[in-house]
Amino acid sequence: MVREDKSRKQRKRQVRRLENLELSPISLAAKLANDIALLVVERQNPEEQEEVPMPKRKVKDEESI
Amino acid sequence: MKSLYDALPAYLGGKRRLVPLIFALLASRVPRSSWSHFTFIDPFLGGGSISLLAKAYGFEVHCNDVAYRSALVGHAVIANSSVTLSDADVALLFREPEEAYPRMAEERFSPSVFSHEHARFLDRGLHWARSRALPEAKRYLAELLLLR
Repeated sequence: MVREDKSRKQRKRQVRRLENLELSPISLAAKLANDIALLVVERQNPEEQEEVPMPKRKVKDEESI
Repeated sequence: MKSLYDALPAYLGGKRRLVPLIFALLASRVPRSSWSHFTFIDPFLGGGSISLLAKAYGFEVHCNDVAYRSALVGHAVIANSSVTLSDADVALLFREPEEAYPRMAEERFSPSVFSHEHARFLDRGLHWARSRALPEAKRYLAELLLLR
C-alpha cells in the first residue's frame, strides 16, 4: 500500500473540517477571504518590536533548515 | 490549534513549522532592534511563510519565485500590506459574466479533477480575478482565494 504523504493527509483533514462547517459555497469563500485577510499585515513598527522567543519544542533536525 | 499560516496554500517543503526557530536563531546573531534597517532577500519564495514573517518583523522584504503559484502569494500578501477582499468582491466571483470567458477547468479538468459545478465556478472566478473589475491587489487576493 502506498503511504499518503503528510500534506495530502492534512489537506484531506482540512477539506473534512470545511465540509463539517456546512457552509454554502459563497459563505465558505467569504470565510477563506477572511482567513487570507489575516495574512495581510504591515511591517512591524520598530518602536513596537517584540522579542523573538526560542521555540520550546526541540526540532529534531536543525541542520535541515 | 489554528495557525496564522493556515490561510497560505499548502507547499511541499514549506517552512511554516520552522519559521519560529529560524527567526529565533537570526535574533541570536542579529540584534532584533536592528531588523527594520535590513533588507530580507528571499530568492525562492515558495509557500511564502518566511517572507511573510520577515515582513511582519519589520524587514524590508524582496522576494521572488519562478513559479506563478508562489509569485501569487508574494503579490497578494507580501507586496500588499493593507488591501483585503470585501464580501462584495467575493460575491463577484460567483456572478456569471455576460461576455465569453476561458473555460479551461471545465474543458480540460472536468470531470477528471473537478466536478462540472466546481470547474465552472473556478473558470468564472478566474475570469473575474483576472479582469479589470477589481483593482490589482484585489485581483491577486482573488486568485489566491481560488487557489485555496
